[in-house]
Amino acid sequence: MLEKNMNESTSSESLGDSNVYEISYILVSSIPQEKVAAEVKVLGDILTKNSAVIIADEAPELIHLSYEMKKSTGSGSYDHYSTGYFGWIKFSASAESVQNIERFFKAVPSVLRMLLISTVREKTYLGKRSKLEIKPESKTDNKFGANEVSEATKSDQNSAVPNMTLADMAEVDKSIDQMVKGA
Amino acid sequence: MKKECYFTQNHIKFIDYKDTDILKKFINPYGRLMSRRRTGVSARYQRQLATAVKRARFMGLLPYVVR
Repeated sequence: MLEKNMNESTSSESLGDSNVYEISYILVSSIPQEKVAAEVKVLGDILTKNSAVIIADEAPELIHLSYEMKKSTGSGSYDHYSTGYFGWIKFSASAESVQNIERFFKAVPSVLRMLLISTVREKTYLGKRSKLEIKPESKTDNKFGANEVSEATKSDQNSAVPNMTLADMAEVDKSIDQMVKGA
Repeated sequence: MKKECYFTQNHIKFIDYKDTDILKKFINPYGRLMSRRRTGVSARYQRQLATAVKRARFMGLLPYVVR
């Protein structure tokens, strides 16, 4: 029985490093593009002050949100957002300091939403999301579809994965499409 | 013919909720997660996939529902 428990604990340790976390956030789109870097610095400072070691990160990019989010203004009303700057930071920290980090992140007024998860040290994110194309007559109410992948998404994905060639990407896409259709 | 798990085939050990292009392959036009009977995803990765989709929805990367 004891041996069985030990085996379970070692297998869970090999699956994930309990001290590695990832915090992703959406900053409100009302802040100008120039001030986004300053906001990221504020978030980075929260981590460093709580003795966290940053492993990887991605600078926030303006994206279309799949649904409208609202944030309380503090005076009983809400601001509604359909776009936001999405970014993430992977870091290692102790369990106690992670609670403080979450609390401080939530208190930052420009953070619309945040998610803190326990993850692994290895790189898990394969590609880049499509950036929001700022066009004068862009449609903001794009309906989501499973088979709908824009050309911008495809080109971004291809450019963000240097190890895979275009042929490889096409092959992977083709195989999964066949699997899904074949059902 | 038996379908093989996409994640096993492509040696993906950890499904990241930020990889919306991969997640979109496994959700139907209404935004709901497809069954593993349909997609051939193994039980282990179906559980990971469900968690990743829920996280992506929370962060606004995927919709909760498409009408």
